[in-house]
Amino acid sequence: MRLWGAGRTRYSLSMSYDAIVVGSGITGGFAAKELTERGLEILVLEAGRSIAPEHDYVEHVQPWNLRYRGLKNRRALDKSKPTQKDCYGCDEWASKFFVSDRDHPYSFQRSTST
Amino acid sequence: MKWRENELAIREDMAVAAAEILEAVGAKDVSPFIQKTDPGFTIHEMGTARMGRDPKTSVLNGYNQSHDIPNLFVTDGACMTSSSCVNPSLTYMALTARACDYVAHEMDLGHF
Repeated sequence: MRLWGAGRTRYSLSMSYDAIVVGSGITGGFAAKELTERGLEILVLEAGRSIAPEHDYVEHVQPWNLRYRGLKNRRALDKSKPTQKDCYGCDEWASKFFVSDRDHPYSFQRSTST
Repeated sequence: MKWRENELAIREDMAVAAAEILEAVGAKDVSPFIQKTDPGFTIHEMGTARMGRDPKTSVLNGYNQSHDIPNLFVTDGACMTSSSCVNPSLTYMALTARACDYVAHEMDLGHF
């Protein structure tokens, strides 16, 4: 079996690594950085979709250059992320990185009145 | 999930402590407020693999290394079983850097 990495590099599952990093989030990514800088050969496993920095990192884009002018597609978010849409981070720049509330539902008692 | 007595007391204390900090540095007319939100409104995933010295009461040691499986390190928020009032991401990254430094050092010594 072959694995494909960034830049279509071929990796063989028979290769051995000094360390395997599971997940490339804020800590997995940092682990990869720290370990490779120390000379270790590592494998990073990520279940999520591939993220292309040139397309997916848009924090520098100004609101007037976004489709919904920074106000986000509220109709779509009402459907896919009815809970998370209220989080400040779930904005037009970053909401694509949030999972769907339909697939990963929250259940809680309303406590706003307490 | 719901806020219970302890979480509500912590929330109260955060507001009081923040006001005390501001007053201690000379701020005037400080009026603390409490933002009442539902669980899930702001989310910091943490807990489930407590850090501690005793393998009977914890999963990870001080280097985020599993007590049971020495070559397994859990360096995300799992080691922290309680949350503060600020974002933990930088702490996770610092814990990761410390764990990785330990791993590299141990490998240099031939322990892995």
